[in-house]
Amino acid sequence: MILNETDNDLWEQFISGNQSAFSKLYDTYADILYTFGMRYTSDQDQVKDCIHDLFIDLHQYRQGLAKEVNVKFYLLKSFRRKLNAACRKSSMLSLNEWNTEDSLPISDFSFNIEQEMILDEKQKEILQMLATQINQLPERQREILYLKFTHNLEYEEIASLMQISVPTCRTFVYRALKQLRGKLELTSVLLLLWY
Amino acid sequence: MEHNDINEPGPEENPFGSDDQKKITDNARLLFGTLKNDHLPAGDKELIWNRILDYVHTDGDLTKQNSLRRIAWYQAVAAAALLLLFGLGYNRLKGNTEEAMRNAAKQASFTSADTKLILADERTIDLKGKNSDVVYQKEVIRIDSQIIARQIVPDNKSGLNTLVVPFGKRSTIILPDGSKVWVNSGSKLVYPSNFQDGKREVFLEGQAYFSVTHDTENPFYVQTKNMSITVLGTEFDVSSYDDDSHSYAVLAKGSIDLVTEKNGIFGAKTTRMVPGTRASYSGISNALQINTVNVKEYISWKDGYLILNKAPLTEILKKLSRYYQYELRVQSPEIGRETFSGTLDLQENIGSVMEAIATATSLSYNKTERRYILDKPVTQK
Repeated sequence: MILNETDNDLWEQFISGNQSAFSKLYDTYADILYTFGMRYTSDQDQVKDCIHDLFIDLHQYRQGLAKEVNVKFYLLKSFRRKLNAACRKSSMLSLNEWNTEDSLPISDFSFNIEQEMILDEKQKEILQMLATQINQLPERQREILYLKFTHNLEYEEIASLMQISVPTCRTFVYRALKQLRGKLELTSVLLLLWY
Repeated sequence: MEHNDINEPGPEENPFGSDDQKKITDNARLLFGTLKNDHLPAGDKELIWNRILDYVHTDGDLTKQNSLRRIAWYQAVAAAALLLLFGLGYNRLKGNTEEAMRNAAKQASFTSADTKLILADERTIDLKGKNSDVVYQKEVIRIDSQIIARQIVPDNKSGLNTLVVPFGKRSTIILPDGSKVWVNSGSKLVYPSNFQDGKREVFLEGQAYFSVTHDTENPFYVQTKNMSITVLGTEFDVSSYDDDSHSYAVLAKGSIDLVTEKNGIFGAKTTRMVPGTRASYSGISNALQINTVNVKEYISWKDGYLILNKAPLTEILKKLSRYYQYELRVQSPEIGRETFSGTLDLQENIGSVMEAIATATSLSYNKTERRYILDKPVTQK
């Protein structure tokens, strides 16, 4: 498909009431949001409900939306908020412990190193180790790495999305990377040989 | 997006040399790129979208919204079907010129390995599987007998849908008037979401077999790049691939009118065909030839086999490579001129088909990943 419009053009067209821009926006982001949502919960229906609600809200309140935004970030953030609220509600219903804060735990990552990449055994081994280490990090740090590396968000955006301050966000990243590096000390020689 | 800035040393925290850091960052990025992602199933994507539209178009009736909360998604299928009974008349059609259809076909590309259905509102539905069935029923589209999409035609759009069938895939489609079309590999079929005012017109690039519902009042038009066909109700095969210099029409039943030289100086030429004949038209020389043929040979592909009657090997390989999406060649031209008769079952995989051909022609073949080359058997030196 020939798509010369950037996300922001699409966004502006949508705000000004263009139906086909709305449809395109959904077409582009429904999958991304679903994948994103499934990182936090395994309840598919809940994720679908949240996508449904998010787009209805977008449509309903479109006239009041800011035009100059990073569309992806904006959608991820709004979506995460919805998902958080929905999860909290359902955990209240099922009488689990609940709190009013942001309490959306990110799930473990399953990386498939075997597929896609052409690597030698050593590289695979290192990545395998790194994968294990990433899964051992505290939830919040793992989430930051996910937002940073999978979604290419900026520190400011991650901070806003996770409701933490920008310096805290930076510190988290450094801490995570430091810890990863610490655990990988033994393989650092190999790392140096790579490039 | 510009590159990320983990390298930037924090004022108090930069616990390691930037070289190491970069490697870890790069590795982590690489690693995150391999994440196994959950994908929203295509059917569910449509379903959610349909529910969003329902909501949006009823101007957000809150009571209805609440009652829809947390219903199982399979129930929503039934709900969507029910809503259709109230028939929201979205379909509006502006005179579909042949030009608009031609452009739609041009815009649709074979980039995906799956068959795709591009709707008038620019949504794209991927159809998995080697053979897929699409059925248009009023305002619902069923795919492999599941309701999957509801048609919404934006006001200022031409309302054209495109079915793109890549090489190696096939599809059948039942159009809103009940006409059935078998679409062969490497083909695109463009048609309006609704045949409004009775005008039935489609555009084809590639090959398709049409079984057109009879309607004396409203002729059915098949447009191709250099010939058009007018029918009232009949069965015929049309082949007009971009990489073929000729377009072909084979008539199985009834009668059809072929319109050629559409832009000719003496105006368009109309030729009537009778059953059991095959028209071959060269867009370059404007030459139209009609021969009596064994129709079965040309239409058997739709039922999953090829009937060959002294068909040159190169022709067979061309058909097979479209069908299976393999590059099939002969080592030298004289091998390609050898002819072959019999029935080839296309349901089998390419390996056994090539095996059969090699045995029948006593040629040997050389196989690489997506290619077979037929050659004379190696003789002992």
